[in-house]
This record gives sequence, structure tokens and C-alpha cells, in this order.
Amino acid sequence: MTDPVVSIQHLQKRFGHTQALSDVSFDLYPGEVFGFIGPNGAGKSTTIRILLGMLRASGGTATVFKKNVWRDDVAIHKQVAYVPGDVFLWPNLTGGEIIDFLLRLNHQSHSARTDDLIKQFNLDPRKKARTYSKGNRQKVALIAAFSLDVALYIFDEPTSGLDPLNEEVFQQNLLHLKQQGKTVLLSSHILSEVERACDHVGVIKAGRIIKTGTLADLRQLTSTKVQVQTVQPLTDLANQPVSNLKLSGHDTQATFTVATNHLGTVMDQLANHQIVTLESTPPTLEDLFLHYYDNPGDDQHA
Amino acid sequence: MHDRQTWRLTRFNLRHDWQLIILWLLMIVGLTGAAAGKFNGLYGDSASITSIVKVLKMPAMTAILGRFSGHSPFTTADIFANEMMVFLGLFVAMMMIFFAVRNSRQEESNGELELIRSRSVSRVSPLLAAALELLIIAITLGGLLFVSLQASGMHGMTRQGNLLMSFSLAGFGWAFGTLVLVLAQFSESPKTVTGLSYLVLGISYLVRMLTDIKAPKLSLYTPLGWLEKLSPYHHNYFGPVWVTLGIGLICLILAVLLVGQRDLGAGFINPHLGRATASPFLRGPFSLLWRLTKFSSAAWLIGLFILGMAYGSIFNSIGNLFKSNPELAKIMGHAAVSAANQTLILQFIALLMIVFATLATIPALQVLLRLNTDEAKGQLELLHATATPRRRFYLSAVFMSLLIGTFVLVGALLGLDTANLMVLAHPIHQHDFIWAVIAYLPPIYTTLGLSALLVGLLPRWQWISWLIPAYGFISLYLGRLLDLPTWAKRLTPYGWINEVPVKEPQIATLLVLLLIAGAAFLIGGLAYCHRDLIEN
Repeated sequence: MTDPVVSIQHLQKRFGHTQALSDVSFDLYPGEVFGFIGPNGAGKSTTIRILLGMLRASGGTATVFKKNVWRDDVAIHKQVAYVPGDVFLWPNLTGGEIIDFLLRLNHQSHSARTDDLIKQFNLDPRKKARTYSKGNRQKVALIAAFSLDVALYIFDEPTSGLDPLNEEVFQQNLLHLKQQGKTVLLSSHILSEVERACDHVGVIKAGRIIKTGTLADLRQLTSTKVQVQTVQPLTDLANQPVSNLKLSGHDTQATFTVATNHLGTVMDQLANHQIVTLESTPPTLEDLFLHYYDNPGDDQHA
Repeated sequence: MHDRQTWRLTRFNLRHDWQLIILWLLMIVGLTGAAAGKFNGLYGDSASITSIVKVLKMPAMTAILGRFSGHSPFTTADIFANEMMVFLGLFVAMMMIFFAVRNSRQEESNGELELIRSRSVSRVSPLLAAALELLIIAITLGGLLFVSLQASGMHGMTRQGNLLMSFSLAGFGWAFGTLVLVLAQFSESPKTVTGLSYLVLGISYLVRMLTDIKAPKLSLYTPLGWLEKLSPYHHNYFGPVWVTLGIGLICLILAVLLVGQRDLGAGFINPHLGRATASPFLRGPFSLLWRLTKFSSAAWLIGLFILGMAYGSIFNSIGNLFKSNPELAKIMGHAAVSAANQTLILQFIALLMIVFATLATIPALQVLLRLNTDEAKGQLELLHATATPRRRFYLSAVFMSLLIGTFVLVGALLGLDTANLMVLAHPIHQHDFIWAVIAYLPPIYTTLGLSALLVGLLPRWQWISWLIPAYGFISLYLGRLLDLPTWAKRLTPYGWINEVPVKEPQIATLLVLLLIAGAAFLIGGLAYCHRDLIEN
């Protein structure tokens, strides 16, 4: 098995008396697009800032490219592009100047790709940063990140403030990175964004990773919604491992939810009743998210 | 509804600002009260009064503290009023610039105003709220000054004189504050507004100095000149106070008219489009700092050059015993008089060095503290994720601050020397200027070093750095007149330089200062590279 690009083991961080991170562990392998999801204040940005050597971990270990994130930060940064959630720029510099400057700090330069990105995101690079809206400041950081040719891309809630058109441009470029086999860490609470691009996700809650895995893995743990119509009445469905059961139309129509791992058994049972129509909705990331966040007990046995 | 919203906003602002207001007021009132309380001890009897009056009437002192007015017999209170008025005026103006910018342009550029304006608040209300807060600060200042003067029990003071002193300063401050509110309408950047305000204050100080020396009557046409013409404890002219208040009112009306004409967040000076790509020189933290500070650094350099020229242009009035003390000059004889004249000028330069050194520290310190202030604004987060080591950020800020401090001090002395060569028949020697620079660079570096220590170790407390030049200036500039003990003058690095160029600089002291600076830079740098960045 190849070595992970990012490896975090039991990471902890305290700020004075507040425990910002209590136990964060996950690995990120080459070519993976990892969705780091959790609500505001759960510790996403703190984890990322530790990965970037801006904050020092209070416990646990974190490596990027098998290097220590605190000690070897500069060596690591040569192969990292980063977009923070809130981009603040010097009011007197233009967007174009800042993009070039950021590229040069990583020993790279303005390329045809940069021009292309400026066009894609529809940014006027001659305007002073003071006149940029939040979305435009975000674009400056995104353009600088996407035009870097590096191994690892880290995005911390990158689309906050972008309009739908630019969000789409972001998604396209993200998919482009994925096709090129780049490794991406995408922190977000906009779940559709994560769902579209990420193959692996980690859920963080109150400074603790409560679940990691592929989207398919996570879906196993939640329920699928089923709408079914049969010829024979479905009264015996109540004995099955289903919940929220609602019967109608002389008990031949039913809607219910079923835990994904029991889906097979229930389907077998339904088949005996001669299915007329069947509609099943797989859980969205929204459902997953609510599942993990609505059940405070869940993090114990995760 | 207009007035109720204004009052509501004012209360909101005051809740924001009250700690800072108390800090500023304590500083100004404390300084005034402490000085007034000390004056009976210093200038209580007629002998000491006679001798200090002679000193204060010398052109050098006129240039710095304002023209001595009144007629004998002089009382302790007269000395106090003449010595402190212009000086306190400067401080009050600085306080008002701070609060006026904070509640006008700064609030607007932070985006706070946008939130407020989206409510049912008129375009003018926030401006009136700022003016009202300035008025409240001014009245509080006047009241506190009056109480502290009354309590000081200076010989020769009168209630009317104390009232005049206190409220003329308050009125001056308010008027200057409203002037800043006008300036705030022109540029969208709070830094530019602050810069413009200090420019106006600086020019008015310089013009007052030149007119005080060359044509005293003309001082009446400068804002600081009004403070000089009040004659507290003698004639008690209240006229200039009303004029000041009238001008404040006119400024306020002007600001109201202007604010109604412009867009939210915009100034009258519009930003133009800039470069689409970066210049090839913009490559690292050092060139970034250069790009960010080149205009303000140039302004400081030119400003101090002009200040130096202005001070130097009065060398011939200062070093002229035939004019200022003809009897003494007759007794001394020609050769002795010209030697004495030279000494007078050198003494003047020694006092000026404190002004120049503390002023040169300001832009240097601003650059150094950017390590944390830009960080707190989030502007450095993108940079820290690039392949640029932290030590380069630190070293860039340190070198840039050392360079700026050095060049600004040199600029001031070049100005002084230029005027020296122009106005004096027998100019002061070049080596005196060179020694003055060599002697005053180490304390500037030490101040920067100690500040770098704070930047690295206690980033949240780095504002303490400002106390070093501030206290250094007050303790040394007024220290002699207030008769401060030596230890109190030596609390800052500036206090260890012994009257250069009157005396030779003490090389050993300079070396120790440089060593302290070097060690502090080193420790500060290590701390900076090994701590959490202060991202929020």
C-alpha cells in the first residue's frame, strides 16, 4: 500500500483552557479527494492550520508527505496550495499583484493557466483589493491556488461568498485536479459540494473525528427512504426492521425508511407481495450529517 | 427621529470607546495635574521665576514651547501656562485625531457602518454621533483639567485662568476633531485620513514656530497660535475660544454637507485601476513591506526633512546673544560670544534630537508591529501557507524597520544641516551632525529590539511598545523643565544619550544599547518562529 499524503493520529490542540481538538485522526492517500465535514467551530480550520504549521499541536502527530508539519513546514509548503475560508488582502494591492506574489512565494510564476483561471472566474485583476467583495477576494485565493502545480491542495470552506456560477467553476477545477490524480482536502459544510467531488469523508464534531470512510460506507449506517406499491396488502411490514411506516390505499401503498444494511431482507419480503412501483431514495450527505449531529450519543460508539 | 438615533449611536460608540477615552484622558490630565502640582516646588520663588523666564524667552524655547507672553511680575501659574499650552494642545489634538478617525472612516471601512446604515439611521446620524462623542470627550477633558488645576494650588492661579486654560484646550480639541471629520470624507482609507490630520497638525505647529520667531503677530492665524494668545491668569482673553468653537461648527457643517454628497464607503479621491500583474520586484516579504510602506515612509522622510529645515532656519535667531541678551554679550567680548552662540545652538540641537529620535521611531515601529497586526487582520494567512519560512517574515520586518528608522533620522538631520549651512555665517560643524546621528541610532534600535521581543513573546501586548517612545519623549523633552530625577529619564533607551552633540557620545553606552538590541531581536525572532500564529 502506498504511503498516505496526510496522516493525522490523535491530534490535540488546546488554546488556554479551551480544548479545540481532542482526538482527530485520519489518513489521506494519493489521488484521494477527502471531504472534511462538520459545523462551524468543530475544529476544521484548527486542524488545517496545524497541518500548515501555523499552529503547534498540543498532542498527537501529524505528517504531510511523511514530514513533520511543524518542523518541516517550508519543505511541505512547496508542494501545497491553500485557500482559507476568509480571505483578507492588502487593500492597496491589486488582485493581479497578489496572485503573482503568492505564486512567486511558492517559487512558481504567472502562467497561461493563471490567465485562463482569471478569465474563468471572471476577475478584474487591476482592481485594488479594497474594492473587492468577499467573493472576489475568495477568487483571488482560488486562482492563486489552482494555478499552482503542487501535490496537495487544501481548501477551507472555499466557496463561501461565491455566486453559483463561480461555484460551478470551482467544482470544474476541483474535478480537473481529481482527474490529474492530485490529492485534495476539502473542508466544507456545504454538503452538495462534498458529495459531488469527494470519495472519502471525515466527520468532525466538537474537536473529535466521529466517522471516516467512503461515502458508500457511511450510507450503510443510515436509512434509505422507500416508497412502494404492491398488489397484496403490506400489513405484515410492521414486523420488519423498518421505521416511519405509513400505509395507505387499502394497505397496498407504503412509505417507510429502512436501515441500509437491512435493505436486502426487506426487499425480499416486498418481492413476495408483487411490487407494482418502487422508489428508493438513498440518504444524502445532509441526512448523514443530521444523523451524526442529531444523535449526541453516537460519537461514543463511532 | 434623527436626533434620537444620533444619541443612540453615540451611546453605542461610547460603550465601545470608554476604556480608551479614560486612558487618553488619564494621560493628558495626569500629565497636566502632575506638572501643575510640581510647579510650586520648581518655580515657587521670584529668583527661580526670573531665571526660568529668561530661559523661556530664548528663541530656542520659543520655537519649541511657544512664545512667552505676559508681563512681570510673573507668577508660577504664568510659567505653567506659557510652558505647557502648545504642548498640551498637541496632545489633545492627537487624542481627537484618534477618536475622530475611529468613529468615522475606520468604522466605515470596517463595514460596521454598513450594518448601522441598513437600519433606520440617516446618512448624517453617524457623523453627528461622532461629533457628539468628540464633544463629550472635550467637555470631560475640560472639566477634569479644571478640577486638577484647581487642586494643584499653584501660586498666582485664578479660577478664571484655570477655566480658560482647561476649556480653551477642550475647545481646540473639539474643533480639531471636527476638522478631522471633514478630512475623513475625502479618502476611503483610515490610514490616509490619520496621515492627513497629522500633516495639518504638523504644518500648523511649524508655521506657529516660524511666526513666533520671525513675526509673532502672524501666529494668530494658526490654530495652535490661538492657544498662545489667551494670556491665562493675566488678561484672560476668551475671544479665541469662541473663534475656535465657531470654526469647529463650520467644519461640522462642512462635513455634514460632504457626507450627504458621497456613496457609503467611498471618498472624494477615487481609487484608480492598478497593475494587472505584479512588478518583477515583488518577490518576497521584504519587497511586499516595501510595496506597502513606500509612500508612508517617503512621507515621513520628507516630513522630517522639512521639520529639520524649519528648526534649522531659526538657528540664527537662537545663536544670537547680541539680540537676545545684549548686556551679557557686551561684557563677554566678540570671540566668547560667538563660542557661546555655538553652544546655544548645540544645546538646541541636543533637545531637537529627542524630538527627531522619538519621531523616527514611530514609522519604524509601525512596520515592525505589522508582523502581528497584519496577522490579526488575516492578511498573512495566505502567505504562511507558502514555501516562505517564518524567519524571513520576521527578518524582513526587522530590517525594514531598522532601515526606515535610520533613514528618517538621517533625513531630519539633513534638513537641519541644510538650513544650518544656509542661515549661519559660521555654520555648525558637520561632525556634530554625524555624531548626533550615531548617538541616537542605538536607542532607536534598542526600542525596536524591545518591541520585537514583545512581538515574539507577547503578541497581544505589543501595543506596550508605543509607551517607550511616548514616555521617552515626555520624560526628556519636559524632563528638564519638570526637574525629573535621572532614573526617571533613564527608563527608556533615549535617556541614556548624554546631550549629544553638546557633549561627546559615550561609545561604551552605545555599544551596550546595540548589544541589548541585538539580543532582543534574536530572542524575539526565536519566539516568533516557535509560537502559534495569532490567526483567529
